Amino acid sequence: MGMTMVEKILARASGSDAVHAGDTVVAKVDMNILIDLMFTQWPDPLKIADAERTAIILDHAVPAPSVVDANAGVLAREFAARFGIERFFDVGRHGICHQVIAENALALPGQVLTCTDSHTCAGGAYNNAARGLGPAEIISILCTGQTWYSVAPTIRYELTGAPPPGISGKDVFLHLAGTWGDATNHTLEFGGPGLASLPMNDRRTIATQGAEVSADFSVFEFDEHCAAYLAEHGAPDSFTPADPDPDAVYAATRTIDLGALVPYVARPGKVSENAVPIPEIEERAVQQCFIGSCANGQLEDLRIAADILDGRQVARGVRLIVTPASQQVYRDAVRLGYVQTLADAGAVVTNSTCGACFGYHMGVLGAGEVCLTSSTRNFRGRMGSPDAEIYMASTATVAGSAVTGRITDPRKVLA
Amino acid sequence: MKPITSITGRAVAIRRTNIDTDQIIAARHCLRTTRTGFAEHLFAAWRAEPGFPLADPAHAGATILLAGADFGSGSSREHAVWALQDHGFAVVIASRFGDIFADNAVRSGLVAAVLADDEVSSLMDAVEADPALPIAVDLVDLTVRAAGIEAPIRMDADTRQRFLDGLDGIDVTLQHEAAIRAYELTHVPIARAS
Repeated sequence: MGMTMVEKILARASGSDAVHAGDTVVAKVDMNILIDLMFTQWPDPLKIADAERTAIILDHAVPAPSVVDANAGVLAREFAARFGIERFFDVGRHGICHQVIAENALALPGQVLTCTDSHTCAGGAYNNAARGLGPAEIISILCTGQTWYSVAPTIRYELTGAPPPGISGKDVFLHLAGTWGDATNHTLEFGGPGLASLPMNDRRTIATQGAEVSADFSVFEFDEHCAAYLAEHGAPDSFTPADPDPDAVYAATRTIDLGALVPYVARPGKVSENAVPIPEIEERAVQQCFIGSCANGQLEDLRIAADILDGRQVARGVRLIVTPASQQVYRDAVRLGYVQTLADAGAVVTNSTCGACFGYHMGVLGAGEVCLTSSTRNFRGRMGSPDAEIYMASTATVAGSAVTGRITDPRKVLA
Repeated sequence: MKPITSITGRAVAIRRTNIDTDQIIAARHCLRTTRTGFAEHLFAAWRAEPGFPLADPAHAGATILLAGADFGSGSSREHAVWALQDHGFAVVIASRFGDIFADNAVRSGLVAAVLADDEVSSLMDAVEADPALPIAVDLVDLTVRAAGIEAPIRMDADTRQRFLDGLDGIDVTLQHEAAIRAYELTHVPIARAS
């Protein structure tokens, strides 16, 4: 019996010849990520397994908006210094951890990455078995260098065709979540002839949002685009990608024709079985448009937004808030002129942080407001008041809608 | 943690699926460095709604929560477990749980009991018909019993044993303390604070 990508990665990480769905494995962790929120409930370990396989990334609440968060930063800095943790991304080198992981090639093909954040499956874009785990388990990994997995069955997504102009990874994911719904206790695997047409940023959006269908892992096949991305970001060549075996066993195999996709929007409340093609809810008036998060605060997102807003204005009565996924994205966007274009159009470009995506700071919603977001979750109260409504769509759709003040197919704005 | 062999108590049903951790407790209410004091923010938005079962005095003091599939999806916050425990819940029963939530629950001693969907529905019907109905959750024989219903709990052997023995992850590790000491004496030291 052959192995899926994740089964193969977990077999290697656990020193087994073969691993299959239903098995329980103890795996060596190649990279364990600590985020700022960890340090608000910090047990302060006396010994750790390996400083080289540990990174600390301040991301959720930076710069600190509260004393509790500031105190967490104090503990993080002290801990990093005490154990000589080189990969410490403090304010100024910070960013949303999944973006910083990508920029620093911390999620390598064929390897295992862990972090408390539920969107850690983002690392699957780079053929890495990355997933979120509970804080107690992350502390355990910090101390032992190992974790365990109950290996889930895998759903294979076979991609065909190429996305038409104006369609991005968010639309692919919303189509998937709207059509097939939850994948609780399952792993998602993406490959097929259409993969080459999906740029790395779109793969990351899709992998990240595996969390919104409650998938364990969300992993893409390795190809030359992935290799080029990793080389550009300083990856060592000491990794071995994992390809699925031809006789791997899947719980289901599904095909997505990328060429047939249209812009999608998720209605408020949940993503799974709640996303529809845009004509079904077009014209809904919005007060806040948000572009950001680990899923869609990438440089390509800021470029797409700047292209749409170039020479246009954010509609009266609408706020457009753009939060780059990292300080590096922010610096690149300044250099390339995107920040100027966005600000000239009336957008607010904030510092990089998880911020508004989890309703914490930098653009929370008030009662009765309607938001269209390209971030990760549309759950009630997620971005602030429980009496606000959150719709979710691609960055292009959010930027286009900021111009019209209503949920709008971005292809109409550009036409 | 205290060992748990069985819990018998009254229950309350929330007939919603995909109850994500943002609904259980919003991020802005997680700003505490303690693990208690979260109860007042549990399901805060829903408790303000008329007819929400948690606000119904008939269900006051319930220690068992019955919920729809995919309970605890979304953010990994442990505070979701702590808020449920702070409110007085010892058991959550659903047909599927978010994986990170389920793991956080075990570690904090909250029983996340997986039952078949139709059995969860039957229990919800029974509890809504009679809020005083006692429900018995038995971890020795992995069965939930109430009003003639006998439903098997799906739980792996290791998780069950942790509840029966009242052990958290550190307790389990400390059971091997002698072996750990012996290992550390014969191996190169792992990273230590300098």
